Amino acid sequence: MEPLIQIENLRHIYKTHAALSGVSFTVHRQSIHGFVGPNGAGKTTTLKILSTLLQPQSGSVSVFGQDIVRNRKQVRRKIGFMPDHFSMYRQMTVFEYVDFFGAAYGLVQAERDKVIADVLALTDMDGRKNDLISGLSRGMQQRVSLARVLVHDPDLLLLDEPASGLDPRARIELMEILEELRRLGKTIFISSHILSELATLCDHVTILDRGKVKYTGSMSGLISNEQSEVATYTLILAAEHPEAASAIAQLPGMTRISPPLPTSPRYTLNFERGKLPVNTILQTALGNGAQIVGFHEEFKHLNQAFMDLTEPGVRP
Amino acid sequence: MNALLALFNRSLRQDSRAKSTYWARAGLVSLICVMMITTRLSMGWIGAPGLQFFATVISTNYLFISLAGLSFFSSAITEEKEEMTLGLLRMTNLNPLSILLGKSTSRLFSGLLLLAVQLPFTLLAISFGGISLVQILASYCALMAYVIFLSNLALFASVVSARTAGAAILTGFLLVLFLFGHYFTLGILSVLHWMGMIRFSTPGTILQAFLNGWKILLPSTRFEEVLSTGFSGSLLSPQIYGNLALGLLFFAIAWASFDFFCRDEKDSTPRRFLFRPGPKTVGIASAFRIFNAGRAWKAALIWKDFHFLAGGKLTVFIKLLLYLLLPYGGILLANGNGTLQLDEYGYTYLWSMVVVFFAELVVMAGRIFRQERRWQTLSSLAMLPISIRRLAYQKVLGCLVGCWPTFLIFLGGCLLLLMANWADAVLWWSNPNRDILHSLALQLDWRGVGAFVGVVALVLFFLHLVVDLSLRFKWGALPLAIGITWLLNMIALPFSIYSMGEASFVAIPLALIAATIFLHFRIGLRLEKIAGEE
Repeated sequence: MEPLIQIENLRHIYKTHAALSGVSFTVHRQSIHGFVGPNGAGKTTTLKILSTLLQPQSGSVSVFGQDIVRNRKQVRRKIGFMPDHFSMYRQMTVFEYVDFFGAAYGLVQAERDKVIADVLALTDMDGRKNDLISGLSRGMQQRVSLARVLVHDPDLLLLDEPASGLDPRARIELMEILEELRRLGKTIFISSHILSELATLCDHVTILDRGKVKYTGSMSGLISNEQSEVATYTLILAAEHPEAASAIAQLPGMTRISPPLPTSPRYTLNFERGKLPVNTILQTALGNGAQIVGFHEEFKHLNQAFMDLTEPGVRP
Repeated sequence: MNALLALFNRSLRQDSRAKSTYWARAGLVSLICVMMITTRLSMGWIGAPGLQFFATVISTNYLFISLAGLSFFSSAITEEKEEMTLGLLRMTNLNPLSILLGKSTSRLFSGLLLLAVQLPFTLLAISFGGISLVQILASYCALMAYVIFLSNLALFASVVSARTAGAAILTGFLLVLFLFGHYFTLGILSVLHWMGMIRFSTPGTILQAFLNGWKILLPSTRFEEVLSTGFSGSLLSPQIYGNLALGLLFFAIAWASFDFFCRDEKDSTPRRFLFRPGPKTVGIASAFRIFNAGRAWKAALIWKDFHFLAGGKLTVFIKLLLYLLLPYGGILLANGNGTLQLDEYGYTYLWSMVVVFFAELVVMAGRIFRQERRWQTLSSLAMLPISIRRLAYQKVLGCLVGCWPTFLIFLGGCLLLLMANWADAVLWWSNPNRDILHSLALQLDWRGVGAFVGVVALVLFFLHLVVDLSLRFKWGALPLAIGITWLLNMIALPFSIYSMGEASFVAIPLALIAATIFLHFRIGLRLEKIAGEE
């Protein structure tokens, strides 16, 4: 896939505190790229640099192949940044707010009419367009904020904690909107603390801790155990079968087979990936007369991957 | 008792730990020292230098205390309302009295301490001659009573208002009423008398006595009395008793009304006029729609700041009416017999609009970026594909669009002047030997040009200073800018003229222009920094 954001050895220091210490990663076009890290990891600083609000102190950052310092104006036209706070003109109506930003980005009125109708429909705010923003709930304000970001049709969306403070319904609806945006061809770079939602939404992820990248790559690569020497699989049989279980336990390379759960004949197998092919396990089970209902690799939960990669405690 | 004074103790402790407290005291003492040096230098050519020096100190204090009333004191409760933390304070053991004591009385103590710290230095005025110990102590007593009155007046405004700006406006209004109300009342009475609606008989005498009593309460009246040659009266006076009583009264009202005004947490979003016609709205009522903001203009930032910072069409309409009527009312008050000539009307409208325009600019300068900062909207604006400087200029233009009633009435004043002098103008224009440049050259010399440029540069410097300070301080930018500019006028300008002579007509405007350019770039950098920090 074609890279859209390329960050190389990015460093940023606030007085004596190093917020970013040599951060490098790539975001691919038309992907949803999650950006995860504990508080104070440097996520917001990275997003502010990407959105041209902060100048990088060292390292290089290019968006759409353009350097964000030298081509700031061109980059700004193609990105939409939603900060982690509700920075809105609360005394405006929803329509006035989106209309204002449309005009500020240079759209003529006819264009604006169409775009505003589209973005308000996408964010499901068209029924509330004449309401004052100050009277809207937090979830609705977040939708208006997203509509504002979309009004100039940016190719890249930078979203800083868009789901924070939202109720479960509003969060799920926001994620649905983001998936719809991906289908429309947008690239989304999203920072969030809600890992479960990122795991299902994002195809790529970068984990940042204490200003350093701990992981960057595909989401499946992070949560699968491909890198690990010991594989974890689940074998589900039609009925409990001690003979088959015993035969599998004898296979060379099998390190552990857990007893079946009391409620279902489900076995967890741990074996050395290089020594024992999965087909051998299946053949052994079938050869002993067991009826196989399911067999799949166990993925780590993103929470676990996050905990494994980041250090405990507060950053000094 | 502990709960009652908990917040008060905490505020005093915080003040004593804050560096700004000591910087303010050191700054004040340094200022007094500069004034002393200036007095010492001019001892040869002014009479009663000690009195002159002390009068300057007292008038500086008087000005700064009045300005503090509009900012430092009036934000005591509203800052908690704006931060939505007043509810949290009320959920604790703190009752309204302890909140008032903690938030306002601690500030009053800081103010009184600032006065106390000056006393040993100002006592040196006695050695300059022309002033006695009693005069100095009596003046400070009068000032302290005034501080107590003003802080409690501002506290009342802060309790009643939802926002700091509202509290400052209410404090300013009540203060102007207190300081100048008796003049207005006298003016209104003379107009009514001229119109034959009242006669000055017995009730008039009672009214006169009331107005005289009011005047006695003013610190300025007391200073006039105390700083007159040979004063040897008491340290205490009706002004002190009156100011203390009024202060106590305002504190009591603030306390009594605290629950009523601060019971509910209110949204501090700036208010706006938004007319929404219902299905049954017809006729004239639906015409109010014209005052709505409507669609964004191509110049979107100008549209936004005109409608949402300068007040929009309705405010412009109200301003137009007010600016037409108020100078006319002033003319009536000042000249009860109403026999003014056309050119006098012209001058009144022209000059009053100059003053109004300056006042509008000052208010806008204080708010233009403060609102963006408060609502953290600078980052959204900074993301627009225009430079931060262009963004700032468009915002300024938006505010200027809101000033068109001022321009219109100013032009009306010019027109009245032209009409009044039409015959002279026609005569001059029909003269075949007229030479505009020669006429101008006759009326202007380089010092005049220098002074004019200096005044314009001073205004620009002042406006930039207000903007710059509004980006640094949460409140009080405008009073602080007024104070700094006033000090510059009091100390730096006379000193420059004294040391440089006629060259100061060039040096001062140049220095002001340089300072303005410096502030201009500093504002740009500051805006970029704030946008990045949000």
